[in-house]
Amino acid sequence: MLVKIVVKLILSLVIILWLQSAVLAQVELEIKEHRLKNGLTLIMHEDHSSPIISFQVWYNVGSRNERPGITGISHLFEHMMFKGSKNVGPEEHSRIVNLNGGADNAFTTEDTTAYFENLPGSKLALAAELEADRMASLLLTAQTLASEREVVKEERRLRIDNSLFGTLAEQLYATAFSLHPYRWPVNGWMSDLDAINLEDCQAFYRSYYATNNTTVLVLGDIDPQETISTIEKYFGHLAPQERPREAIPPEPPQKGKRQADYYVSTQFPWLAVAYHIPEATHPDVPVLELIENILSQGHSSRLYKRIIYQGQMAQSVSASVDRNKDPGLFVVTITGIKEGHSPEEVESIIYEELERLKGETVEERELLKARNQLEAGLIFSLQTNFIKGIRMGLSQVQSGDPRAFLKDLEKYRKATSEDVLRVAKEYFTERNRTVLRLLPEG
Amino acid sequence: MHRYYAITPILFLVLFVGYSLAEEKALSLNYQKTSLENGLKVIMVEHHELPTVAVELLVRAGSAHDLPGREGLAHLVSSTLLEGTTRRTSQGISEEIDFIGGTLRTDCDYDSTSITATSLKRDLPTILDLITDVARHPSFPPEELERQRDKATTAILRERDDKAAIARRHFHEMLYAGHPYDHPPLGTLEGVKTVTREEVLEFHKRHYLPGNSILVVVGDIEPGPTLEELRRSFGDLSGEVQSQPAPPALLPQTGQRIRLIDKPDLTQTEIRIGHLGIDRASPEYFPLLLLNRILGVGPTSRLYTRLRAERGLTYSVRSQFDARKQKGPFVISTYTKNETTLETLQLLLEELKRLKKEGITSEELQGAKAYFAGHFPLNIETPAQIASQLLEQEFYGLPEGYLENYIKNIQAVTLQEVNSAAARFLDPNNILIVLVSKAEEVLEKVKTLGEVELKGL
Repeated sequence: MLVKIVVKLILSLVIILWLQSAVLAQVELEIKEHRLKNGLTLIMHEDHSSPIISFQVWYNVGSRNERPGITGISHLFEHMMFKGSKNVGPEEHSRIVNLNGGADNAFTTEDTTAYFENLPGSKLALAAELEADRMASLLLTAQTLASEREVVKEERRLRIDNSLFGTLAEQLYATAFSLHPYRWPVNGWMSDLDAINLEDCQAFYRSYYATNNTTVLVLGDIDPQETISTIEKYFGHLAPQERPREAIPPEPPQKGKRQADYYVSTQFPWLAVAYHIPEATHPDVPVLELIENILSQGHSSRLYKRIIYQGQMAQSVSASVDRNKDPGLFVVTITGIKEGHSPEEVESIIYEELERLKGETVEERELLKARNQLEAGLIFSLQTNFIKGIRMGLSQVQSGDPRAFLKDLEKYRKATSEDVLRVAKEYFTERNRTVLRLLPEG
Repeated sequence: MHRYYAITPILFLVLFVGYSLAEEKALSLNYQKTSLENGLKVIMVEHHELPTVAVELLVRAGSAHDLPGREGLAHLVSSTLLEGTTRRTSQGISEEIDFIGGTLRTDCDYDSTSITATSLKRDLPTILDLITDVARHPSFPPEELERQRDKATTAILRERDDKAAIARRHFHEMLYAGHPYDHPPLGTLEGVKTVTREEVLEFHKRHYLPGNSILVVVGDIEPGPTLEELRRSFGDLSGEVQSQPAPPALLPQTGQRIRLIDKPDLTQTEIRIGHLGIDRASPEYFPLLLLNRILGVGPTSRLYTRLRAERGLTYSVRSQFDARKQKGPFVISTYTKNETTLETLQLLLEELKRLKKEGITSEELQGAKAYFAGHFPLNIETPAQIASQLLEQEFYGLPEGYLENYIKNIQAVTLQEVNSAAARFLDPNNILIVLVSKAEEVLEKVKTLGEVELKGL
C-alpha cells in the first residue's frame, strides 16, 4: 500500500512502434479495449512469454478530489479496501491471493488509486471475483477504521514526519500551491487523518468506487475473449454511480517568487528549486523531460558535473517533471549540502545553468543523449506485465488514453534545440519560482 | 596481464528448464553456463522479447574482504573503478554510457562486488567494452580516489539523519563485533580516512581475478558470438586467487542485550531485533525460508497480523534470514510511534517465543508452500531475475539444478523440519534489540524489559 509511486515513464500501446533517432529499435505492444454497459473500461494486453498475469483496478480518484478537513481520505480508503467485504473477511483478500501464488498491493497518487494482483495466469477469475466483491460490498466498520487509521498515521510518520525527503516535498508543494489540492500531501494532514469518520468513508465509497469510474487492466497470459466474459461475469451486474461534480480550484498563475525555510534535525542543508509547469498532456511537458535529462540524468549531465563532480558541494542532485492531470512542478532537488558550501552557492549554480538553457542552444549531441536516455528507459520499463500495466494505467489517468505515450516519443524525437530554448524561457522565470530549504536546527 | 591463453570451454551446458506446475503451462528458460580456461565462469540467458541486454560481473570482493582498520576499502575500490582507466577518463566513461541511454554502476555488498551495465541490444559491444575496461584496467587517479573518499565520508555522516541506517549499523556492530560483517560495505569514518591508494591498487590486483568472478550476459543476445566476444574481452585475464585468512568464529549472543540510540527529533521508534542466522549453503535454507515467511513476510504473516492488522501499531514489519557466505543475521525490522514502543517489543518477543515453542500449523505450511510454488514464475519473469537466481546458485556453490529443483525443494519440506528449525534457530532469550528513538519518551518503559545501554548519535 504505497503512496505515490514515482514512475517516470509513460507507456504506449502501439501496434508497432519504431524508435528512430539513434536507437532504431522495434517494440511491439498491442492492446485491446472493451467497454461494459455500466461504464467500466477494460484494457487488455496479451503476452504469452510467461504463464502469469497482472490484474489491475484503477479508480479515477486521488488526493486532487479531496477537500480540506478530509485530506488523505483517498489513501486511508485504499487501506480500508483490505479490511473485508461481503464474501471476504478482513485481510483475507491478500491471504487468498498469496495462497494462490500471487502478490497484491495498492497505491494512491494525487490523481488515482490503483489495486493490483500479480498472479499465475490461471487465476484470472479469482482476481476478478475478489476485486468485484470489494468494489460492490465493502464492509466499513468503526473498529477497522480505528485500527487502520493508526496504520496510516504510522505511514505518514515514516514517509513525511521522520523523513527529510518527505518533509521537503510536503513543504515545497504547500508553498508553491495556494489553491489547488496538490498543495496537500497524498498522505493527508495528520489532524485530518484523526478527523475522518465512518460517514466520510461511506460517502467516499459510494461516490467514487463505481464501475463508471473504473478502468480494469489485465496483462499477460490471457485470452481476450475469455477475459471479457470473465470481467462481464463479475463486474457486469454492478451499477454505475453518479460522480460528484468536480469542483477543483485551478491554481492561479504565480506572480512572484516564493521562498520558505524549514528547520529540521539534520547536519546538512537540503534545497529544492521549483517552477510551475502545465498538465501532463501539454506539448511542453516532453520538452521539459528532455531538459530534466540534460540537467541531471547521469554523471555527464550539467548539474551533476558542476555541483557534484567539479564542485563537490552536495551529496546528490536530481530533477523531476510532474506528469499530472492538472499542472504540477518541475523540481531540482539537492540533498546533503556539505560543510564549507552554502545553499545560496548551490542555488546560484542552478540559476546559472537554467539561464544557460535560456541563452544558448543545446548542441545536437547533447539533445540526442537526452532522447536516447528517455527512449532506452522506456524500452527497459516494458519488461514485466506489472510495470507495463502501470505505464498504461498512468497514461490513461493523465490523458484518458492508454496510448498517449506514443505521441510523447514522437515529441522527444521532434523536439529541437529551439524548443528547449523556448520552453526554458517560458517556465524558468523568477516570478514562477519557489525555493524551499531544509536547514539544520539551532 | 596480457599473456594470451587459448580458450576452450571446459564446460558448456545448454539448459532448457521446463516446469509443469499444476494447472499451469510449461515454462521454459533458456540459459547456458560455461567456464573460460582461466576460470572465469560465464552465464548467458537468452531472452528475445525486448531489444535490451544486461551484463554483470560479480567478483568475490566485498566488505568482508576489507583489511583490518580499512573498513570501506572494498567499496572505495569498486566506486573508483568507474572514475578512470588507462584508456578513459571519469568524464569520458560517464559521457559514453549516458549517450547510449545505458546504465553502468558498481555495487559493493558484504561478500561480493558487482559491476553492472544495461543498454539496448545494439550497444552491447559498448557496454561490454566499458565493463572490461573498468574491471581490468582501472587507473585509480589520485584526485578521483579523493573524490570517492569524500563521497563515502559524506554518505556515512549523512546516515545520522536516517533512523533505519543508524539501527542497521548498530545492530551489525553488536552482532559481529570483531568479525568482517561488523561494518556496512560503506565502511567507517576512520577506515575510509585511512585507506591509501597503494592499498586500493593492491586490493584490485588481489581480488579482481577470473577465478574469483562470474560474468553474466542476459537479454537479446546470440550466445555463440557473445561467448566469442567474452573470450576476447576476458580470456587473457590471469592471476591466481590467493586464499583468504579464515574469519574469526562467530559466537552466538548470550542473554538479552538492548541498545537505545537517542535521536531526539524522532516521533517514531525504529526497531531491530534478532541474532545470528544461517549461511546461504545451509541445509536448513528451505525450512527457514518457509518459517520466515510464516513469521514475518507479507500481509498474511503472524507479525503483520498481530502488529498491523489487529492493532495498527506499525505500517510495516518484516523478518529476514539474511543468508550470506557466512552466517548472516536473522532480524525483525519495524517501527512504531514512540508511545507504543514497549507494547510492540513485547508482542515481537511473545510471537518469537510462541513460534519457537509451538511451531507452525500444517495449514500455515501449506499456505506458504502454495505461495512459493505459485509465485515462482513471477520471480523469473525478466532476464535480470533469471540471471540473479543463477548467480546466487553459482556464487554460493548451491547444487546444480537449483532453479530446476526449486519448487521440488519447497514441496519436500515437512512440518517437522520447519518446527525443528524453529526450535533450533529462533532464540528469543539470547537476542539483540536496537532502538533508535527519542530516549526521553521511551527509555523508562523499555527498561522494564531489562538493562538498556543508552547511546548518543
